[in-house]
Amino acid sequence: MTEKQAIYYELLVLRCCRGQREALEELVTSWERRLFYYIHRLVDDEHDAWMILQETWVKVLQNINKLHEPRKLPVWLYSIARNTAISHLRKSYSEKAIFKYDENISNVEDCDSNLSFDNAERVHYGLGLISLQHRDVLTLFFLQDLSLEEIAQTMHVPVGTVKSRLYYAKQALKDVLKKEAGHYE
Amino acid sequence: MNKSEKTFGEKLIEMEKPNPTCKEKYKKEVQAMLEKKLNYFWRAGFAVLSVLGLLAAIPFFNLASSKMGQNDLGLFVRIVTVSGAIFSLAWMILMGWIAATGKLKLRNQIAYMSAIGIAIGFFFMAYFMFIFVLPIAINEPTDYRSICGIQLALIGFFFVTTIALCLIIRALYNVGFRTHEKLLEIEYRIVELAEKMENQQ
Repeated sequence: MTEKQAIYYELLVLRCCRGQREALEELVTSWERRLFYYIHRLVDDEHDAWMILQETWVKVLQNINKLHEPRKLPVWLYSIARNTAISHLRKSYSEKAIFKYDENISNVEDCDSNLSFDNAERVHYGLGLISLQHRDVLTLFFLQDLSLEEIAQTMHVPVGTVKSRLYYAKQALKDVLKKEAGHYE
Repeated sequence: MNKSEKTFGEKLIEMEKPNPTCKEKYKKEVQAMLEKKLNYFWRAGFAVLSVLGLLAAIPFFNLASSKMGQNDLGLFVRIVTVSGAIFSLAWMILMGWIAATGKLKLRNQIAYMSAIGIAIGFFFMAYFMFIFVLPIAINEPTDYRSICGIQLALIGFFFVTTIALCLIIRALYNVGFRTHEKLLEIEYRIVELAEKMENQQ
């Protein structure tokens, strides 16, 4: 995060705490599309995704006074969106069934150097085909709002675990995209 | 943040094509959430409070513009009644405004409501003292008169101190926030300027 962005977030949070309607609107307008994109990757039904986004804003507006580190605004917003989506998913599935991770791999620092994803359309399509746990971490990664450390904070796991999950998720996405490409050839 | 080239994240977000009906419904609900609009029941309540403000202003005006027997009212009594009338009218306008717009700005308007309400309470107490208690006290022995004076002074002191406290806390809160906000704005502009200069070089 650049210094300019950090100051902007601090200013925006301060104005929201003062109850300025324009600031609240600015917060909603600037973040709703990316939060919706993330939520919709976690929740398949679009109507539910909009409902979760609305619920996310209710929580944000109620608790913005408690955000002591405005520079962590993106992490905070994604965390609220993620927790709200998970609460929604828990109503349909058992807790363990929502995210199943295989985290045996320990060192994946350089494992994914050969994987490159530069076609947004294909990635968007591929995200719809991989499992929920892979989609979760990959969407946060591809949206580029958070660093690996921040993704780890959002998911409440160590950075190493995020790297490991990203590795598997990228492999899964690559496999799916390859299969799809082979299918059409 | 004004990059002409889109980031991968932005390109990805553009791939999402939301259903216009769902989006419209969401937008309306979020808008309503930001507005904090009052329902008809609350608006009617504020309208009643506005009328009460007008009713409170009438006795103050009557007293402020009247003469007691052949003598003019004392200057202090005049100041109290005129101030009471002004605060009652301020209350009427504030409540009327909330009832008419149907919007309640919790942070600002509740602070004004408390301050004006306390002020009206004080002036009514003072009014009551001047009209009923002091005329009796004047005919009573000096000791009783001084007790009445002390009571009036204590009540007045309580109300005035509370109003002052409310206003001071509110002002300090605002000053703190505004100063921080201005400092951040300056900081933001400096960083922006530094970025522009870097790009020009």
